[in-house]
Amino acid sequence: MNELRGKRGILAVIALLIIGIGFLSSLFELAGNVRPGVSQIYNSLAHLVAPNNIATWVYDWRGYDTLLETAVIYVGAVVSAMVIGRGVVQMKSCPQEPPAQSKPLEFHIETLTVILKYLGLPAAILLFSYGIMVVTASSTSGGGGFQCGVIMTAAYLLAAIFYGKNNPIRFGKRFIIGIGAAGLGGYTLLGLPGFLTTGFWQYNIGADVWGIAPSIMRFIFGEPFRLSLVLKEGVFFSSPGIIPLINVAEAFNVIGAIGLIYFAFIYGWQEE
Amino acid sequence: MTTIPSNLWSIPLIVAIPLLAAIVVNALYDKRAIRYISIISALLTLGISIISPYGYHWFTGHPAFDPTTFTFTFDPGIPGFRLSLEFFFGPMQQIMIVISSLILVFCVIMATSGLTKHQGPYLAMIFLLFASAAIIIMVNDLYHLWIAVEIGSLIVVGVVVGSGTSISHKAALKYAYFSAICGSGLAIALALLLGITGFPNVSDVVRVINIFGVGGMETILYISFGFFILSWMYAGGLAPLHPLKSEVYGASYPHATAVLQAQSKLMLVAIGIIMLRIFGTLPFVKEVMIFLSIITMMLGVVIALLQIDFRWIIAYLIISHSGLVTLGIALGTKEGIIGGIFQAVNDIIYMSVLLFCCEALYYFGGATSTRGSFGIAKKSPWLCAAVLLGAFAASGIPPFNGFQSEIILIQASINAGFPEIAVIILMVSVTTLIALLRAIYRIFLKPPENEVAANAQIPKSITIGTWLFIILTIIIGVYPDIALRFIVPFVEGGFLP
Amino acid sequence: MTSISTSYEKLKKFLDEFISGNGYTNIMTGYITGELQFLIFIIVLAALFRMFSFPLAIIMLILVTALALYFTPTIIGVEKENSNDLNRVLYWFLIYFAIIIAITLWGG
Repeated sequence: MNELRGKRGILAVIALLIIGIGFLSSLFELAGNVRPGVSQIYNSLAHLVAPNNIATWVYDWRGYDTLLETAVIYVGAVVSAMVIGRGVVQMKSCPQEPPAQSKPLEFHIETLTVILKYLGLPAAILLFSYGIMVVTASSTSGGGGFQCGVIMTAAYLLAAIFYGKNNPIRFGKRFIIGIGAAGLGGYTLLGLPGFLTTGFWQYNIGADVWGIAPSIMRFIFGEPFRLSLVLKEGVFFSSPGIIPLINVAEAFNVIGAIGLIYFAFIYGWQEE
Repeated sequence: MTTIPSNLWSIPLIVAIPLLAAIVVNALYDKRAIRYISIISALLTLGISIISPYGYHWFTGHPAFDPTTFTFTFDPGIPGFRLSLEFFFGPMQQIMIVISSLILVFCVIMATSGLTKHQGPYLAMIFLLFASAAIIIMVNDLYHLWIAVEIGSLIVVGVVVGSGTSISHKAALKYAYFSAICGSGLAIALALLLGITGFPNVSDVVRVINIFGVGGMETILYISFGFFILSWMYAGGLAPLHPLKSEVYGASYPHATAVLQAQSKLMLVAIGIIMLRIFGTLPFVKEVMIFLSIITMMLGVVIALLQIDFRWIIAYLIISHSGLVTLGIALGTKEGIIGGIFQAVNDIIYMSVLLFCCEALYYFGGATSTRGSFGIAKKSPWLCAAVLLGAFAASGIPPFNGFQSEIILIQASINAGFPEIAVIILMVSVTTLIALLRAIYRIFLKPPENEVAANAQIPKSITIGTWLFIILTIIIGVYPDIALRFIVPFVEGGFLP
Repeated sequence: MTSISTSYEKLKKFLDEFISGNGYTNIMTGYITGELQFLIFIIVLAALFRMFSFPLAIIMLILVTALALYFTPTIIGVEKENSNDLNRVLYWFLIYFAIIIAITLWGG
């Protein structure tokens, strides 16, 4: 930190002050002056898709952006594993220093209390079930694929902490990478039905807000997820369409990604 | 006149094919099939970008809201507020993506033949790198802009880490550290813009600012610009972040650097044009951009003179020439923007020539240091000819392509009333030649003092790639209209139809 | 501030060190070229301040020329300031960002 001592440090503090004052003054100006803009139109249309407005926002209006966001998680995991040694490459013609390969984490489970020993596994199973509940209810209540993935990998980590490396939930290398690939690939491919029938990638053919999808596609992707909203004004029907499917794919992706990070750090990565 | 589609078929495929290829090769990890899948996917992307018509794609198929008639429309010709997130594929996007995917094809062939077995994740990174570049050049909404910069920086880290040396690990860590600052900076900039306009679509943001104004909230626009320019610096490696970006270029394998530099040029062009569209009318915005570009140009080329490794010399020259690209855009005149984009195209091409030659040096045992002299010219005269031609193209010597774009930039800066900038551009091109020839003389031409592999076999893919790109530099140098007919209509037409 | 003749002596001494002292190597040619290029660059850059105001450009020009001659050889400093040390990059990053914010926000 020698660079930030003395005169340089003072200059850096002045610079930070200027940045801080500028940024805060802009926030003060913005307070109370936010224009709703496009969100008014979104909110007026949201009831035609999923009752959970956030699910509609994230997976329908800006669904393609969420796909790339999902890819960020996947890439983050792949890069983390790469740092540890998975998939490091060298030029065949030009030998360099040997690539980094990490050893497994040294941890031993010796002082496990009886309660943890017997309740750990049921807790992990409960967490798994909770994850399934969260992902299936994505379009009607809070939750979704991201959350499900995080909850399920939390169960994995819990089992690893309680029972060590030979825990009951032993995800293998191939399984974790496969499930991540299936998740992200599945999410990507869920854009295809809309693309092939209407020309718009990831058009929600099940909900079909704009009535441009063929009725058979609307039936296939819409009927299984149809919801009814019973109000005193009457009963209203809507279908979240492909949103529940995207959420399942999302969950697989997150399990694969976070699972890969846990796996690589716990077991290390050494090429056979 | 044909109408512009709002559901152009090619746009999602240009992103989805590399994405799917990346997923598959990462899962396959070390199988032989990786080579075929990667080459086919890269060729598919190239083919699609060549044959594709122009138009928009409104993802998830929501129409635009026309505020004059209170109706929804799928016709992008009607100026309505877009409900969908939007990509645009036009002539400028076409030439940029075609050239980048051409580089991708050669990069993939070189990587699959020259690297060790476990290459799945590394190739996945290369594909995603291309995808992030394609996204950012087509993007017309703030959400995708952010996500492209975010995923782009993460993938750059992956590509660098893939080479597994301690230098590359350090470079990647530093770059990732600044990704946290600049990525969130861009998020703040976009949040402020969303706050004062309410629309995520760039055209809508510009329209709202022009029609309704910002209601005395100029401070927000200025701060947003400040944060925006951070991501510009970061994505393109402009000063003061040039030491980190050049480290990234120098620490990865040359074939990957070819894609990396293409990606950062595309980012510079795309973010630069979006900044011009949104903030171009504010005072001091162009001046800030011009000064940043000039400082980058001169620091890059001066520090390239001090380097003692061919890879690092090229790395700093890439930085310096990024300054040329941004300078044209920063001038803000039509001529300047045309020159800037044209320079980006040319730059990607001639830097690839140099990088492919650098890749060939790995087959002589990695003889890239200028401390030794290896006499490569005697062992491989064609490689030496190629690297010399690449150096001439990079220095803006006619009849190569660098000359054509630099002369447009020089004219643009004189017409904009800055003859000093023209002087700086001239100096940069001369110094580029000095920096390159220093290294080329030591490595290729000087009688050998150090031993290199005697019977080195340069793969055909490198030879073909190098000479194909040299032919491109000469063709564009002699007939610049081949490239300019894609760029001029884009700029004259106000960026979007 | 040094006189012109002393800065000439300084530059000559600096070049002499290269040629006779540590030996004439190809790396040193890079440094000498870099030094001269950098001097010209910053002088032209100072002249460019006329886009803000003409008197400012004249002041900058005199100031930069004087400082550059006073501090020769500058290239060693330039190389040090452009090292890839994280803290140094962070420092310059903050300075640049603050200048950009200050100019755009309060410059007009």
